[in-house]
Amino acid sequence: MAEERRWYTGMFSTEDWWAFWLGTFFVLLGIITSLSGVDLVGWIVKFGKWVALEKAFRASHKELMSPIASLISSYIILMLTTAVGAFFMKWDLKKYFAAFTIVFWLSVLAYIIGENAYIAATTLDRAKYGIDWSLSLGGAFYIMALIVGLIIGNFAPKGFREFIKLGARPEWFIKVAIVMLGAKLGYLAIKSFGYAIHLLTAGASATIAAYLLFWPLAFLVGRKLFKLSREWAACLASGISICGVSAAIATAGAIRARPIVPVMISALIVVFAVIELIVLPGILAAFWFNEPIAAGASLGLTVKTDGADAAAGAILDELMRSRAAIELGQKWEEGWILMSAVNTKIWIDMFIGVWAFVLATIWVYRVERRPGEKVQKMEIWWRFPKFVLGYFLAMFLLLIIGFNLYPDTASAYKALTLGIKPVEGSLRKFFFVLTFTSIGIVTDFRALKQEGLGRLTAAYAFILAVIIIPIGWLIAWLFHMGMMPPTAP
Amino acid sequence: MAEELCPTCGSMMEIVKMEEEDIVRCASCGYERPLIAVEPWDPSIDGFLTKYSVVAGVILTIVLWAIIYFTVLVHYR
Repeated sequence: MAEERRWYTGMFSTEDWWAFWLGTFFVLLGIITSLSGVDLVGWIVKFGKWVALEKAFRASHKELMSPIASLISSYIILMLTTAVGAFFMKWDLKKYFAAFTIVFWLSVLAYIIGENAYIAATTLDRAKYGIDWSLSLGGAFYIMALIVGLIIGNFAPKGFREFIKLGARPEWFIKVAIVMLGAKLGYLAIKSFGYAIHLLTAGASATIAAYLLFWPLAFLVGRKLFKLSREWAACLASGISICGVSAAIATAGAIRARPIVPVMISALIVVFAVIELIVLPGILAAFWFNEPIAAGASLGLTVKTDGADAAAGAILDELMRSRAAIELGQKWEEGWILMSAVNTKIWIDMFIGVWAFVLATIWVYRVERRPGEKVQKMEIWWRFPKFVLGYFLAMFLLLIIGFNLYPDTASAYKALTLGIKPVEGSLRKFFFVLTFTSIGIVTDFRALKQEGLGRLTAAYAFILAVIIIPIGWLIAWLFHMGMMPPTAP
Repeated sequence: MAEELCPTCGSMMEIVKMEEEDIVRCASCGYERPLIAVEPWDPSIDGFLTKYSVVAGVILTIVLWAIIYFTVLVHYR
């Protein structure tokens, strides 16, 4: 007999919940460090721009340990903490250890190469590093990690590709990072509270407006122009409009589509998200420099996997800030453009449960008219992305602590920096790099050549280019026009 | 990648490229069906799904934008 689902089902067996647990664990380490002064996060390895290799990385609190000890400690601690999740999710632990080890060290290598000052330093940084030229490629370490992953995902022997995928978990890694991003939002909001609230409300409104337009238009084009049947058009519309793979799967479940439908659509979503991740940040940084927050928000509306969206947001954040430093002589605070991208995506993710419930209701009562059948309201909770709880928990914890335990915001910000900065900065960025490497590894462009995907690929590309991206940009601009990132001191 | 079980014999079906369209075919019993079946547009179902969502989307966009414009974006003009 199938196990009955309760509200707590999956708490210790799903990636989503384990992103919540791990992300919250690291944030709590940071909070305890800030409140008690006991350094629980100084071991976190921090990468930076370098000319001499020995300056490429160090411990977040460098007085605590040497750079090498910090790197090895980070490897061991991340391995063990993620392995706890892997154990509860019943993964093959031996293979996970081996695969994660390769993903970890590849990510480290990509990070170090991408942070070389000749690649990453802006014109303003050159004097600091004693160099007279540089490519000014902010975020090159992300692209480096992606390239390394793509080479493995597309050219390594099949057996090795399948093996390394056990440790390459882009959606899990990015969700952990997003929980830490919640801490960053709370931490920054202590001194920019109004701005953070504006960003959250504008993002939520933009998301509601966008997906109510995306879905029916994508469904209409799929049905009328590409002659897709209702089950294909509905799943494709959800996948391309809402939150990618999980939306396609949730919709397939809600309308009882054949299993083949979400599987094929998911393959398309993953590949197109990577194409968007490579193409969109450069375009947006080049042509939408005057609206950086709107540009970030547009990524959340148009890039359909959490990993690729946050990854694209991180690149855009680096590119925009580099350009602002060079052209405007302004230092924009790091992370706000990224948070704008993640913010809209998180709101979209939260709506998947509601949308699956709405579609299931329409299908049961109107499309298929199944007599005597009822749709459970608990579907909304079961479909809810649990890592989002971690994002908001981290944000509210920081705000509550910041506004209640210190005499003023300046002293709160200063006191919390000790523990929170290594978690929301160095560790979160490293999880991003792990995500980039993993995205590359799991993205196999040969998927596009498989039988049966021709018409779907055409439909997906058309809907993305003609409906999702233009409307996404318009909505993002309407709801974020004029918002600029705060400048760093 | 994209395979499904045959509804008649339970064997795994495969996608096969035909002249004009892709089908899923069972190698054991020969059962086959189009991968993406032709399903005519039904105004009472498809029209219902699209029409109300678009109308709701447009109305919500205008209302929400007006709220955000006069409460949030007013600080950034």
